[in-house]
Amino acid sequence: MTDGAVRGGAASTAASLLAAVGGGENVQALTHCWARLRFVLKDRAAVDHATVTALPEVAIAVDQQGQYQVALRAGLLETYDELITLINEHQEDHHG
Amino acid sequence: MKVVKVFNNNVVLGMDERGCERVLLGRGLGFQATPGDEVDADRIERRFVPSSAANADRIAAFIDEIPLADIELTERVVDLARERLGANVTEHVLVPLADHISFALRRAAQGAEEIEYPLRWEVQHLYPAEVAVAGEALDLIERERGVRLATVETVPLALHLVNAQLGAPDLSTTVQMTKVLRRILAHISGEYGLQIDEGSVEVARFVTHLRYLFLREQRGHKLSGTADALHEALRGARPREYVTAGRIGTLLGEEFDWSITTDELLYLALHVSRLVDVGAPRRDDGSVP
Repeated sequence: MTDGAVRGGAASTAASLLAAVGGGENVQALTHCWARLRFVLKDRAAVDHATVTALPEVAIAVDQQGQYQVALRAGLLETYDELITLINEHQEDHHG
Repeated sequence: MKVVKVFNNNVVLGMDERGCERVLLGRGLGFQATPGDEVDADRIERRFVPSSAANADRIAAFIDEIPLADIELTERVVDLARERLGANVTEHVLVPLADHISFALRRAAQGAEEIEYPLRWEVQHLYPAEVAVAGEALDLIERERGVRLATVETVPLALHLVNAQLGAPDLSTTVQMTKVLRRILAHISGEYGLQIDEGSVEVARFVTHLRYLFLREQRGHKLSGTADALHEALRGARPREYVTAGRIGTLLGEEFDWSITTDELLYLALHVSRLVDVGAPRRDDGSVP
């Protein structure tokens, strides 16, 4: 797979994932470790857990340590970067 | 040790006489305790060191949710890592590593698919000692739990161990360093038309040197005081390698906002010279049969 293909896949994964956790407005903070994206969400109830776990790129998603943690099968760093871009764009639209 | 904060009946934040905070776990430690009370030392079963990557609140949430058996298993992995890699594997690694191992066991139990970790190639080639310890950790986990985690799990385990030795605040710094190490080797390979053998002693020494450089910069230690004559001698003997070292210095400076001293450049130039001396010409440039 080329870098471009990984990047494109990451962008669409990021968009689907963000929508399923309640959109950019629901994300208070996002970090990652080596296996997981770690969302701190304003409203946990806004998460569509079934949709998240049904995404082909998602290996597993769990609630832990006050975070909604999502392990991806691949492309974690790229997807994280895309998510941060989307969340920043969203926040600029609303507060900028 | 005084109570600073009560998380629940079994977990409190304590502060010792030297003002160091510790998250303390012990049955009944927090029961009817209030800030300012003396901690009942006999009840303390475990102490955890907060850090910027895992602050007290996160550790408290973590020990509430992670099975104690997973924490104990991780303690044995950390002991093993210290035995093999040295005491610079700090205790800060315990919480993030236990978090990772516990999650890996959970994924395995649920039959989740294997993860294709980022920087797999880099970790395997640049940190062979940590990957070897990670392999032993998989053996240990299998003996203790009867679960054989996928071989690819050595990648994140090794990376946590590298991170622990760097004293980096979080994995992102280690990720960045790993990417930069790879770029530096690729640059040398391209510049001199060399086939870089990542398994060679020279590359291992160079990577080790760069890791220590990284550690020095993290701690604000600057190398200085090398005699001018040494600089002149090397610049005269290996002008091209000296220029390459300068480029590497610029790359590190831009990437991490460091100012690399001329003494550091001298060492880099020596390592580059060594790589050039032992490197075989690249087969893809057509210059050799």
